[in-house]
Amino acid sequence: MIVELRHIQKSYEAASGIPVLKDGNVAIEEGEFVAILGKSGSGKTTLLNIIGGLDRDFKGEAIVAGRNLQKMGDRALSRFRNETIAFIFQTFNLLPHLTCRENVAFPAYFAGNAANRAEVAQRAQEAMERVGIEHKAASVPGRLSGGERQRVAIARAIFQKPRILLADEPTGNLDSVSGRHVLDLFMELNREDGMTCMLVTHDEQLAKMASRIVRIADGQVVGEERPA
Amino acid sequence: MKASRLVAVVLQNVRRNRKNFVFSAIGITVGVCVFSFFTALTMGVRVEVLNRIYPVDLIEVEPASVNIAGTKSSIEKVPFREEGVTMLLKEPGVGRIFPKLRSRFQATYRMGGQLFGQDGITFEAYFDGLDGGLLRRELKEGEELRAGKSVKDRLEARYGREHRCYDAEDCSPGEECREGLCQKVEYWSLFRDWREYIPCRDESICAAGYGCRYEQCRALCKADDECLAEETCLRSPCTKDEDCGPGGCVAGRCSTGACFFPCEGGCPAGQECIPAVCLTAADCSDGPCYEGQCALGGTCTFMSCVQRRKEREVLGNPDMIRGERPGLCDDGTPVPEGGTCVLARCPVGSYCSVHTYFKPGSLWRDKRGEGRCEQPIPVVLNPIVMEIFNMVLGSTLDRAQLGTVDTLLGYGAYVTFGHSFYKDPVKDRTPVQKHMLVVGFSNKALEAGVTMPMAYVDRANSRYKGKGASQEYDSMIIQLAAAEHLPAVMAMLDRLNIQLSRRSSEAEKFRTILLVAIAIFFIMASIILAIAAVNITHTFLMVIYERNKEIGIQRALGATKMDIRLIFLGESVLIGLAGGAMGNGLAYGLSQIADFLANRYIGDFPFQPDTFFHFELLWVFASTGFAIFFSLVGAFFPANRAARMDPARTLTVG
Ligand SMILES: Nc1ncnc2c1ncn2[C@@H]1O[C@H](COP(=O)(O)OP(=O)(O)O)[C@@H](O)[C@H]1O
Ligand SMILES: [Mg+2]
Repeated sequence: MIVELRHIQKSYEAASGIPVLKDGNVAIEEGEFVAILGKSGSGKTTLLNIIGGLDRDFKGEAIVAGRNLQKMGDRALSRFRNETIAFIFQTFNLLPHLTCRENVAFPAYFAGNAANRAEVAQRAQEAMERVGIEHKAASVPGRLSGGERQRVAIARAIFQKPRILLADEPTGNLDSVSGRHVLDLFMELNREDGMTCMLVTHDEQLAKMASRIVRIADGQVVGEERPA
Repeated sequence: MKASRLVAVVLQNVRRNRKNFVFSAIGITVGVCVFSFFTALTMGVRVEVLNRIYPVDLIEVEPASVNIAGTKSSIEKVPFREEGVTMLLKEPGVGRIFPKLRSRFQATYRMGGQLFGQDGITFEAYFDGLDGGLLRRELKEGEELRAGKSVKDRLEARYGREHRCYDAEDCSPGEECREGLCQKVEYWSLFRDWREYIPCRDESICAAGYGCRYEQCRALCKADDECLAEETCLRSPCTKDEDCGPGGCVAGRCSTGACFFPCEGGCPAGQECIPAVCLTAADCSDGPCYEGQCALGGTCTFMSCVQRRKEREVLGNPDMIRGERPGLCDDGTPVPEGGTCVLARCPVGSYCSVHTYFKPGSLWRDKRGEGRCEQPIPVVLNPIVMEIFNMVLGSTLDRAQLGTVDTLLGYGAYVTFGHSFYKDPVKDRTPVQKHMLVVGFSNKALEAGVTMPMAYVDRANSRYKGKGASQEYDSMIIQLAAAEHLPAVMAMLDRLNIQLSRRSSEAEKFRTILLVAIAIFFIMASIILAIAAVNITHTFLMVIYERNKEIGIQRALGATKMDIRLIFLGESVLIGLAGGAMGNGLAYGLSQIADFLANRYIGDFPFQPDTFFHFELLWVFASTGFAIFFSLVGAFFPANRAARMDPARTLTVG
């Protein structure tokens, strides 16, 4: 079990007490491709942030890649995000002042290992080749199309060879063709590299690509299914 | 996060946010510039001006005195005599001590046409005396330093070793014959009491009150207290009056003796220790004492410092001194009625003095009216005199200025002891005019007058104010072993109840004022930097708001809170560095402009320095460090806020 969430409770305004996640229980095996399906505002992103170690302010137990996230300090958690988790966002979240190559290699700044310059460049190159964006290495994200940007973001995500890929509506800002490409990439990474993928979406069609669909509504898991 | 990676991220951010960066650095630049500029100015005034007027390593002290019911009485713990000098020399931080004696009687200077036009000018004279031996060394160093090479090297290059001379007349003006070679006059070596060095073969050459002993004119005396402090009065044995000079033979000894320096403690440069006269056989190592000399090869046990034999031989050659024209002094001075000029020609370097001491009822021969050869009184000038000279010459007299102090070296002037514009002459003392010769420069010399070897002042004081007129030094100049001993020596002086001279306490005051000025500029700069820091806080808060998404991305990619904090603090360090560099550069540029404007629009004045500014690397580093500190303070709060931001929130909102 690479992700194990038990009785996760989360509310943003402690005072109001209205929980965003009421009783989140999710268990994911290593190598699975899981789609989290739910309406906008149902708590999908919140769930993903908890799994990715970006949000520690919740109740319940989250064990990811064998680590109890709530018991980790800022340093350990940051390192965990750097090495184990890869985030893909709907809005790409590239750094606009850096070239694509620099964006891809950016996690190296916060890495614990002492990789040298050449090694970093080499790995960035590999990651870009992997997603087929190496020809845009020297451009800044502003000059790229949405699909290209998302591929740069995926290259950055896999730069550190993470175990878990958390994609939050990665195709939301893309046309259907580029969306399709991005999804193919995920499936390839899942299949060939054994990367565990969690795909958050409100699109039923997309969710069907996953090996398992977890339905979420009002902060609760309301059902699970395995598409044929 | 590794330091090199941090630097890379910081540089990326600075490159992107150039506008904010420059904007934040401007305040720091202004603060550092104010600090750097005014510190350099204050230090410049201190180094370039103050230290030249009041040398840092010299303190002049006077006997402390208290005013009790209108009468000044001294309450000194350290006597201003030789014992006091010995006491002070033992104190830590004290390098050398130059006792000073002031003139206590009226005198005037006359300066000739060389500098002041045909008529010359006469003005009231002030002078003091410093120990010749102590000052000579300093004068020598100064003269050789200004000459570039050592004097000897230069002359050898010019004449070769072969060049021979007998006396200065074989040589060009400005040279003297030393060791058979024409050499440039070493003016520093002239700073000594010349009384002992008038060469003679017999009495006729010596001044009234002087007798010829060991080929030199020596003061005649009846007892020790008629000689200079260090001298002893030696009276020769005699059998009849004819054996002796004036006064005759009294009880087996000449009633008149001569003053000699005992050699104990060594002789000054250029002098050697030789046996003097004997009184009885007991004074001789072997054989009897005959006419003051030890017979049968015996040596007198009393040793005296006299000029080296070699020099005595050249200078003391009577053929060279005694000329053929009795009754006329060579310098054309008319011989007063009844007198004769013993010397027709004086050796080069000396001059014919027609004045003599006049003491009615004295047992000394009255030689009034006879000329005699005298060495000019060697005097040392304070470089300040030169500055004032230049100011007077340049503006008042409309004459060319003197380039270097050396222009004045060898310059002659006159001093008339006993004459004044304000006072009547001293009763029974004829005013006496003497020649003076400028032989060097020292910042220990009197600022508004000249400094002579102390013996001249001592003698003249005794003559015009009576014996014992100068039993105590008027002041002592303490030369510090190094400038940093100043506080320690000041504390010591306080403890021993020794007062600073007016000049030294002025210098102290000025130094304090400059210190206060630096403190004020420091506070001013701190205020500006503090405002700059607040400005940085504002700018950074804005930047953090702009970059909050980016901070979230960095956190998602593995940045710790500390990483985020360090990135912002790193940017502020860069701002401080840049502000420090630009501030110091700006201050330097402004100082150049200020110097240029000062040169152009402020007229010449004494002690005008080439630059009013003194930049020190230490201050540059200190001000930059200061700038970095203030930018760090300004960035501290925003950096913390950035570190505490919730990444999940920044990434989802918007
Ligand atoms: N930072 C936040 N502060 C307050 N409420 C939030 C915040 N982020 C999300 N929410 C609320 O929590 C609920 C779930 O949000 P989210 O997890 O983003 O849903 P989804 O990703 O499924 O659209 C929503 O009602 C949303 O308004
Ligand atoms: Mg969402």
